[in-house]
Amino acid sequence: MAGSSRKVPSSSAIMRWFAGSDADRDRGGVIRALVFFVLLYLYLWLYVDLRLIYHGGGVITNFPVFFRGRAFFEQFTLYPGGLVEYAGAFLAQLFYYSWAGALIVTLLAWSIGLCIDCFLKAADAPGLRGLRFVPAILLLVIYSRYTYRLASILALLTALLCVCLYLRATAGRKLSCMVVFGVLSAALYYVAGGGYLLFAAVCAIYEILLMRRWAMGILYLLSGAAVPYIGGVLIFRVSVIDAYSELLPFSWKIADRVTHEKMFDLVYAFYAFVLLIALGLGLRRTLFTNGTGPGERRGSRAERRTKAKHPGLIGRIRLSCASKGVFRGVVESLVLFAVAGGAVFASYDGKQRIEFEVSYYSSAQMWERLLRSARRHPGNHRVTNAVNRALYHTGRFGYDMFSYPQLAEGFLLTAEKFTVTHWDRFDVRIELGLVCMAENDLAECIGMFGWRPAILKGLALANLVKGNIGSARIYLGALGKTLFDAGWANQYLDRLESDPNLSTDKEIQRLRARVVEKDHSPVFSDNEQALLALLEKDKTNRMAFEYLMSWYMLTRQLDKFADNIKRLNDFGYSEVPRLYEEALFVYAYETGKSVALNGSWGRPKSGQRIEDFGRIFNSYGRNKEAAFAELAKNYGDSYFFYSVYGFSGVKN
Amino acid sequence: MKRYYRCFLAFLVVLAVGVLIYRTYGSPAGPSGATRQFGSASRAPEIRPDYSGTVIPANIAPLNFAVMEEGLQYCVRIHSLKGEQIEVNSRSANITIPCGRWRRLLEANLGQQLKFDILVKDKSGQWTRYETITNTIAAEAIDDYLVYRRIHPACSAWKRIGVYQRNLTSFDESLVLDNRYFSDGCLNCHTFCNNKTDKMLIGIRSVDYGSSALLVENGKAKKIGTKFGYTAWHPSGRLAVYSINQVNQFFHSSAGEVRDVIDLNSLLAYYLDGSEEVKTSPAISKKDRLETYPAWSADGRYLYFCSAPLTWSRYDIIPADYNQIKYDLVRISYDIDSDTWGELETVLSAADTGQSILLPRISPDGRWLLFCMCDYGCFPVYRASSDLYMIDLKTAGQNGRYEYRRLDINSDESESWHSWSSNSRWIAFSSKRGGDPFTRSYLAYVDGQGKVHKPFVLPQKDPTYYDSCLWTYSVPELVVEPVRAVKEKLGRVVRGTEQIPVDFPVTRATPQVPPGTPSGAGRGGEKPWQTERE
Repeated sequence: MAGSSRKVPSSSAIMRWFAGSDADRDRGGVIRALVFFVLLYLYLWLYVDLRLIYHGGGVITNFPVFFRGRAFFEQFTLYPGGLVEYAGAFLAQLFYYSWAGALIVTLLAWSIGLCIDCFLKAADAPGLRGLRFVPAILLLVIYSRYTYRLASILALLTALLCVCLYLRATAGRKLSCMVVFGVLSAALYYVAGGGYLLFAAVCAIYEILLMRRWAMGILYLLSGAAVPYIGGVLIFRVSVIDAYSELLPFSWKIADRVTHEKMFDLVYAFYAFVLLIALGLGLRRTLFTNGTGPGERRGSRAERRTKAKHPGLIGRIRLSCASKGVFRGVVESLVLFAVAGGAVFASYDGKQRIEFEVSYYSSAQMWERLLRSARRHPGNHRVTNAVNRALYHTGRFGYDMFSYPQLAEGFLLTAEKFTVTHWDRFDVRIELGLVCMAENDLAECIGMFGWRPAILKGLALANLVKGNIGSARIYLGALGKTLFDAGWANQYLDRLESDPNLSTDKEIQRLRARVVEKDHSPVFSDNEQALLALLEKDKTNRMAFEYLMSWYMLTRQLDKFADNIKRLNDFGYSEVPRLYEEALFVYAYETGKSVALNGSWGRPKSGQRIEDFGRIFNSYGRNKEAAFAELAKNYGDSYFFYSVYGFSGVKN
Repeated sequence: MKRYYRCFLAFLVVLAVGVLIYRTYGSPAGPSGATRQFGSASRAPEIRPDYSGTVIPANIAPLNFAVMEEGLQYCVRIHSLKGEQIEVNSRSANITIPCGRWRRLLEANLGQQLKFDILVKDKSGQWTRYETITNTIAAEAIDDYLVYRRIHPACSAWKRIGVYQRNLTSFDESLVLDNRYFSDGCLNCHTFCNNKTDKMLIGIRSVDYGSSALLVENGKAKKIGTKFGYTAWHPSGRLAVYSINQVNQFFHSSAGEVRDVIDLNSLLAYYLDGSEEVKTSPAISKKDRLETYPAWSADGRYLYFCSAPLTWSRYDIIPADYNQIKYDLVRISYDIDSDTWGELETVLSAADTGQSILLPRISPDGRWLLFCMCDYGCFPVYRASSDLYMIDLKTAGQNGRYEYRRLDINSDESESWHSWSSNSRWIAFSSKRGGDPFTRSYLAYVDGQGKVHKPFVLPQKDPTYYDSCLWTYSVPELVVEPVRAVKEKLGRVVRGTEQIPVDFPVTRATPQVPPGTPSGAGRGGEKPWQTERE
């Protein structure tokens, strides 16, 4: 490091960093930094739950895919920045485990802070070392909002590491500085693409404003313009735009895939923050010193002692604070945690988090947790779709569907307005037996989200069910190169070798038995036709039956509901589900017709419920608004309530 | 500083030693000793891709393959009548053939057989020699480049659609243009004139930049202000005929291929390159017919195209009898000097074949007419029934009968998107034989008698590439030279406002709209996100 060649053991270097500035290089500083990063880690692991980002929730479109093998790696070697992108893609896969993802992000935050600390020390600004926590707070915000930006941030970290290497490796001689800069430039540009620009800019600022070596600074700035052109355009033959912007937040490749525009600024902030620090420190040196470089900046020890003995007003305040180390440490810690907490609070979006959770639990078939999460959500079509699936799988569809907000237009997400909501419906479609529709959704998901393992798995399954073994093998082949789903894929590939038709695979056979055979386009957009076609193929398809009955209840087609209630006998229900009974009561009440069922329906309790409901409603003079509160409290989860008010989910 | 230099030096030394060890011990010795005894398998080994019994061009990249036999070590000897035998020894079943030696061997043996002797060492250390795999090296070379479209199997979202070119003599693939250069628009069929790239057209659709055709001529790119569908350059290069299609996508609830498309309306028009003018003729834009897939005869005197009756009056709904739509193959004479069209003739009628006849392509020597037939409709790549057929136009010219024959190279899955090499000896086509929906590019040799020999899949450096390749490759067009236009420049032209204006009265076939039809329907109601075709 320029101006400081003191050698310290590496472990103490880490301790020193945790401690921060010279003034608080004590236990308090270490504890503060440790607590901060441990809290950051725990927050990301347990609260943000980074596996939700891995899953993507049908929202994150820029999460990278990663395949094992040389062929996949080789394509990243063909352009500047490819290696960091490859590393980012690999590290991103570890988000599969929330604890591992949190560890990566925490280490990233720590490393960036370490680099900033290194620069601050080189610039002789130990008092500003609190700034090293800023990147961690920015990362906190980025991940709290469930966005993915790892590649750009890794490029920034790589550039900062090179800045540190440059600062450490340059002992002051211009020639060696330039040699080190040149070597780092070539390597960094290849590894981190546009991230190199940050390195060149920071080095130039350092040389011009801090070291006062104008010629070198200008040379570095020029190299910032020349290296991408020579390396990118002339050697790697990439476009001029790509040569200068690869991996930077404004790269069209990244901008193109960014879903949350509002988050875009934050990655800019990352880069801007580093540049502003460098510029700020440079200007501070230029404006407040006599033009001495770091090599000569400190003057003699005697001079500094003299200054310390006769401090100005600010100096006196600083000395006063420094003398009260514990107090200062507490204040700094409070400020740090307040800022971090404020950032988390400002960026927190509970509704969005629940949506990610619901999508994840739905994919992982964690039904109870899904239903618990959904209770905290005001309801939207995507959540409702997942809730209905969970209710079916827990055997509560006919009992609890009106405990949650239900909207007929979002049922199975088939309405035209959900044309592109492919992610949220392929699972339920496969389970129902609408495999062609699921396959189409999955194929569209590939276009929208890339070759994500969950999608490849779905496509492999859909093709196995359809008997398209050739294409299933291709999807399984690709899946076999992923990190966490290779086992599942290889198991199926092995099975296909011995049993190409998978005739002994019970799950595949079960799904094949229910695949709709009627080739009729309207099935894609008409819930009733689709569900009837499924029941036509397999009258024991209980899922199709329950969805059909729910559809009839939701759309108040109670005549069709009553016509189909006799299908209950095909499924061996031990009792008529509560909501079905309530719908039959409503039907009988409205039409005066009776419904015959093998077995009995109309438990006394249900009869009592409709009587109570009617009594309360009548007691308010049949005024819906007036009766709402009491009916919602006692019957908000009933079909009686839905049939009167047209909405549900009020009894949470 | 010295410490860093020492570390760096140590790293270099370790690296060099590692490379040396790998070079020395990395490649296993083969069973070439005279004392070796081979077991013999009385069958040919299974290799993937299937490069056996095919005819290959001398200028093709090495046919790297994987030996699908279990073993610990593999030895492949590639030899022919003349030249040095190539021996590849590998612990992996993936056989990578050295490029330079492969090329020299093939070039020295034009018209000769190329043999692969494959030996596999089992766990007991015993080598087994399989029956020799034999291919034939054609005397005629294939065009050096293949230009194709590489997309995801489903692409309503219009993500990552690109036209790429592959150097067939190596494994080099480069991007011609992809849709990220114009905000994720769509780019369709690329069309060349006489297998050269100095005249090229690419259809562009973009929400942000509109629909247009990108004309690349002698290195200069221009945007024509109208959308070109399927396009065919006149051999003179003076005009290009293109189709205007009102495409509607729909889905099958139960079928191997979920997607389907129908042209609810279509016609042909032509662009005169010199005058930058677009025209049509009543004969190629009939109100009661759907015209599409134009193809010129080699002498430019006839335009072949497909035509089906248009039996519906609404252009916003899929007709109930969509699976009864079948196209005839027709032709019409044309005099380029006077710009006059002659009379329509039916070459082959769907009524006679019972199938829909699509995608006619005529060999540059004018002898062969290659086309698809499938059970119905206008889009063979979505129909598993689509097969390739051929007509000998020379014989037809002599006896007046267009006799067609189904080619032996077909599979149970869709074959389509065929093109000819400039010497009329090779065809490239798309096939889904490896698994629908993945189309792959296949190459096949056509001999002097019109026999099309067993096709082989476009070779890749990684022989297992296709086992997990999630791209589809469509519209493989053989060209003798690379596309030299720079992608950034093409992207700029697409994004730019400058374009050749097209004052064309008909933007859709049959422009009248029936009463009561909602606004937009019947005029195409451009919904670019709705349809994409492979």
